[in-house]
Amino acid sequence: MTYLYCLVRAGRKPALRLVRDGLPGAGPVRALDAGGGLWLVVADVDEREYGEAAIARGLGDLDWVSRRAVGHEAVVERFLSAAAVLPMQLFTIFKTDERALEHVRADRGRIERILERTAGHVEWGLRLTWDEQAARAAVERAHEARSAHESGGVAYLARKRDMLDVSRTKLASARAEATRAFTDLSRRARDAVRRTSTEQAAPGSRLLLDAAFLVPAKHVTAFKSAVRQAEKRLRPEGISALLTGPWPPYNFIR
Amino acid sequence: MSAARSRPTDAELVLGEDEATLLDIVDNVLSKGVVLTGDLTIGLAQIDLVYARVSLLLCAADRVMPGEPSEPMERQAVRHEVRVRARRARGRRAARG
Repeated sequence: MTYLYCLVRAGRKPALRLVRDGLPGAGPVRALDAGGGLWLVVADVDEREYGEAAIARGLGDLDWVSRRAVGHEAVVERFLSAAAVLPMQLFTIFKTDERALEHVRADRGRIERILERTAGHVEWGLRLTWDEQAARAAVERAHEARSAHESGGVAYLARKRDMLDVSRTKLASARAEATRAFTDLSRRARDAVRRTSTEQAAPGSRLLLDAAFLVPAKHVTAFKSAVRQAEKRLRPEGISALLTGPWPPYNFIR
Repeated sequence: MSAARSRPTDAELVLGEDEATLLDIVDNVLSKGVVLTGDLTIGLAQIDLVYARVSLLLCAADRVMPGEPSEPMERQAVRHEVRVRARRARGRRAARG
């Protein structure tokens, strides 16, 4: 069977010599020519290991899925420097190479539209979380600095009040800060999405922002330095940032 | 501050940065790639189940809510497998980051 990792836009056949990763048990990575500078990056897989029954069994085991997800992603990432790369969903499998080419041909219009939008771009993920302990530590530090010239009782009450404040209102202000950072960074990206479903999964959630940005490859350095600036501004608020990437444009395929 | 507060929550132990990145990978390849209906039909319900588990780990509820009811055995298993995978993913991403 033919396992399809991704589609790659390239003037000539993509170099595959260095692509050694891939799905466990899959054959070497190959490129199929779909014409018009579009290539299918595929590998042979065995029915016993990647047939319907085998996958159904495997899906119950997160470790099994994780290994394959990492292998799939590793291959896709090798083509991040191509003119454009479209990752396929995990476990996109065809009976033969010809069937894979047929399916791509049938969907060529949609594929071209997505390629058009994402060519020359990479995705970066940003997650902002509110660190209550850091916010509390900041309050402690502020009070330690002040306590030198305040009487014991007053200082104690003020500290107590500010600690309560951390839990009550600081989270709300942290959320506002995160939204501002998202708006600022969106201006430096061609497109941006905010995944509010994960952010709001729980009341009192400390995940302030879960966002993806589609950044022109040539502006990545500027984007990263903007994130560093934002991080500097957010840290005193008890907000920590996690930037991941570059990713293929997963969140901008639609 | 009570002792319970200063102790990292279970969720914090589960998800470090590397783990979050690994879960991002699983989340992305499972739910966001280009969908071409292949010859092989995989039960969408099953994919959804895996995806739901990953989302749960990624989402705020699992990251942060202390004392949240959980399935300790499964949590431990997931924590372990995620760490193992993360170690491999870390090298590649750090080099580029």
